Amino acid sequence: MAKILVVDDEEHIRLLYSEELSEEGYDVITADSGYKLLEKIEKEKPDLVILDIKMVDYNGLDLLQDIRAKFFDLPVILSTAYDTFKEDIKSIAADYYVVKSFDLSELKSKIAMALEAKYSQEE
Amino acid sequence: MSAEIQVDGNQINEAEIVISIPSYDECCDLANTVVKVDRGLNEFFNSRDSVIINCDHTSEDGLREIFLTTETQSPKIYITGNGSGGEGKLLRSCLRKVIELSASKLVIIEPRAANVQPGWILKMIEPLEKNFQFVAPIYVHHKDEDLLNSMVVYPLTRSLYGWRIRRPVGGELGLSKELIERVLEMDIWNGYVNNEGFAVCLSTLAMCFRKPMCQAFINQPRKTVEKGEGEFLTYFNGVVGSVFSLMEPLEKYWKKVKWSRPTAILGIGGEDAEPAEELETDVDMLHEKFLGGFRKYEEFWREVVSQTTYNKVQEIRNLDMNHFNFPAQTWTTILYDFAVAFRGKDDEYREHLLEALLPLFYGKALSYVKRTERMSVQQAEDTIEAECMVFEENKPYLISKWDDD
Repeated sequence: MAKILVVDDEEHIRLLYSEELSEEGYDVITADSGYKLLEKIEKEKPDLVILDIKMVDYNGLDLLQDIRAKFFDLPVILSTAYDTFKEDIKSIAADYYVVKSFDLSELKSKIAMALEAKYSQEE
Repeated sequence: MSAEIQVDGNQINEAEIVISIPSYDECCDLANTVVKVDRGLNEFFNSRDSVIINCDHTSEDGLREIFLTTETQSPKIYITGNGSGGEGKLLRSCLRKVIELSASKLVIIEPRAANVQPGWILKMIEPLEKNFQFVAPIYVHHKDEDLLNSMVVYPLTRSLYGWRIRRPVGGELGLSKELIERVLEMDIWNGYVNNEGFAVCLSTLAMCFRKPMCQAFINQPRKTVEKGEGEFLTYFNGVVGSVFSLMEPLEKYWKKVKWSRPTAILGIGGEDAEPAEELETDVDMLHEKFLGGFRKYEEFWREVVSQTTYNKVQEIRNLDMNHFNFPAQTWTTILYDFAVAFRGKDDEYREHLLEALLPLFYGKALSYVKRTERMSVQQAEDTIEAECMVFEENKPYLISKWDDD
């Protein structure tokens, strides 16, 4: 069972993602901020991270840079309210991005693709 | 056989950082490149043991003297070959020299880049200090720049090997000692790789080996001397031939890969990016060259690509300039069909195949230029990314054709 870490400062998003992704068979853990995120990743060893770009105290794109520097092949999906972040070159270090929505079909599809890509390279 | 001259007053037995500068007849301003590289080493890595190596392909145009007489603080080593085996063979001599010197970091700087800056040395070496083992640059670029890379090499290497290295064709690259050792173990060298494809070969191997890799953002455009038509044909054949020819020995790596993965991006921040130079693309010339291909290669295309794709190419032929569109799906299947046709053939057939692909490339380039005419660089990049997804989605088609061949 793949373990997914959801990093988002909005509680309802963490709850929504947790419920729906758990139903898909994923083991979901959450974090409400970027605080000590790298330590959490080190400890929990998730297979994939869903990262909110705009949190109150943290910039998701900066966190993405930190994650990539330490865990170069950990899949990261950016979750965002708007897609204007694409103008920032840092965003290309993400596997995929999804615009936040109550319909999680796109997120689920991107999760499957990112995990499939990672596992296919590890074989 | 290669020959070597050392210039530092002392014998160079060891170094931590090696900067390799390959050079050839058409090389631009070697002295300027050497000076900028030396300045970068002194400015940012002053306390390190560094050496600059010139791998000179022909040594018939005075480059040896230029390199040896350019004053530098860093010691220099000049390596030349007997002219056979191409640039790649010499660069392999350089890779072996890096191992011999026990150097942990190598950066290859192409003197074709006329505006190499000392800061580029920092940007390329810094990731190697952070345990990345392969560094490819991302320059500020015009959306129409280097269309061979954007339309062919990037989508193909990305879909084949599963890593989004935006500029696998180099010119500047950074490699760790560990990666160099793996590269030298491989027996994959051929005429294409040796002549124009060494950089794409190194990028490909880094992707296959899954070593930590990243892209370094260089906040300047890379200015190069524009290639003449004959030179572009040689470059096209060398680079595309390298990608196609590597598919055979690296089959076990690319066939298992699904979708693609991003890499880290380093070097962001600091000074504002210098804007790319304006570029005027001659769309009429591209259209003419695309249509000209039908006179010479129409029948050959019919042999290489599927009937559906061939029919689509005929449809595109009849589109006027205002409605010209070369769909990503058609382009993807063309490249995949050509890659399969390349497999196991003799040199003569392969040369003909690559020449026959060129007019189709001009058609695809024209379609992209027209489509992105009013787009920003970011929007054009999104277009390229979307087309890359078509390559990834159609990879099962490639595998099926490859297995049936």
